Amino acid sequence: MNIPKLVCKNLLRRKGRFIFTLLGITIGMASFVALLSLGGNMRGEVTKQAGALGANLIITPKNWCAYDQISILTGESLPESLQYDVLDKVSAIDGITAVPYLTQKTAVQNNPVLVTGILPGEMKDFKGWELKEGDYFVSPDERAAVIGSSIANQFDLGLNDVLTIRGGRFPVKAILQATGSNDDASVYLPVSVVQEIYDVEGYISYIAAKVDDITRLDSYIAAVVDVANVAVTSDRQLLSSVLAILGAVNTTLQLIAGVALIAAAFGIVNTMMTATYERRREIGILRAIGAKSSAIFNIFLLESGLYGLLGGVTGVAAGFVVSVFAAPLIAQSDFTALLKGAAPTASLDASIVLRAILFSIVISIASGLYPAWKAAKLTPVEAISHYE
Amino acid sequence: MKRLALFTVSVIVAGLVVAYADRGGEEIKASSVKALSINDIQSDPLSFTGEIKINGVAAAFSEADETFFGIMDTAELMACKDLYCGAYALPAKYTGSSPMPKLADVVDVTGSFVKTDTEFYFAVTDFEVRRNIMRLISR
Repeated sequence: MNIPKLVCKNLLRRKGRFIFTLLGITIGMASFVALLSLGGNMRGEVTKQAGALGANLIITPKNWCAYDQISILTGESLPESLQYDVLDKVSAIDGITAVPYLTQKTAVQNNPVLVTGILPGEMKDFKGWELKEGDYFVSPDERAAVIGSSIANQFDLGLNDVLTIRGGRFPVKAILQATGSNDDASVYLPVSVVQEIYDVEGYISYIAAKVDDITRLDSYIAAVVDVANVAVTSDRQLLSSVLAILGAVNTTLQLIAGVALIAAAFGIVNTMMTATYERRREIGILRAIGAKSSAIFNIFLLESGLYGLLGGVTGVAAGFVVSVFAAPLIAQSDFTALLKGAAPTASLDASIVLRAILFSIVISIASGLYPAWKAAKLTPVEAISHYE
Repeated sequence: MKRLALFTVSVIVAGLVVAYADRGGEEIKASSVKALSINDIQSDPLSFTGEIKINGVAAAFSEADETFFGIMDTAELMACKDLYCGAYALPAKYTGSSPMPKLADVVDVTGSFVKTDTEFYFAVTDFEVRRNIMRLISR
């Protein structure tokens, strides 16, 4: 009998113990995968949205808090608390291209939808938008709507369908090409029209700006602060401050997963220790017929590694099923409530699957080291002379 | 042993099916929440018609009319942690038989908007208290 066959036979010798040990590592890995997947998705989503913003600087009122900063990246509506003339002052600075955002909400088919007031021409150039259908705004105060592709798909909207926003009727003029960002989930109107229908004339929510020379970012920030009483954040600062909040969530999730994994690892240690004790005679016979201590060591290590492989595969599958059900619950918790659009969603990528299975094998092999060493150091005489 | 193999395969297949099904949901949608937030309805409440469910925090109570209370956005309150941070509070009116929610109760309220020449409020027909977050905020 070769070593792989011997390993499989040994594992299945006590079926009940095999199943319960496997369940232990499966549950440990399932919680690890579920929580890693949820946490990773939150980070990924925020990072993606920060990239899609396409700005080097975010100019906001001074009194905005973390909630408002998160809202910029999660596509929520924001207070209209920045005076419009700040845009003129910022745009006048050499080397800065600035566009205003005025974010509000309305309902389409009783679902909340973001309405973003923009300078049509400037925003199209700033974002590099392309049209999927229709014709873009022809004037900066046209009373029509351009919609993101997700809005069109979700509500089955087409060209010339009419949206009712704050009592006003706005025909859909164009549908944007999908960008994969929050841009897809907004209705766009000229900023002057949004100011008028939402009664916020003279105000915008925030300004996004690009700079000509990224190496002089600090001097641009100083220039903006000089001309207007505003807060200026670089896109990297904004991302890192939001990720810092997410980091606290992720750490908690990982700690919970860690405890489950440690418990599973001790389950393997326990199982393998028992196996070492039970199979002393077998070890003795193997040694007596010429098996080296390294072969005994490898047999036990392979057994625990196989637990890791099987537990990893079943754990990944179970973990994803768990994350589908856990995501809405975690999203509603006090801890993640303020994350809103960045709240966890369940999805799994290949790297998480591979890392989790590999991690499961490594943990299991590490757990099997001590029992394997104990088994390998038995001498043939003490092993074969063992009786219950 | 066959049963164990069957169980293992079932778990893997179930995981893959759900994973595959979820890939269709990668598109960013305008909203996927069951209850609307105060932030969702604040700018254009009358665009929501019929009966809707809104989640928020009972943050103020009328002394003049005990059936009126104000509901703040849960996420915003969790961030600013202050009932008096100046955030918008939706006026809600409940005339049912259940006891009114308590201060800092997170509630899901069901009802519809009422607008007359003189009044605007959310007429609550039913509500469910989810938890109280008083320990997490200051008054």
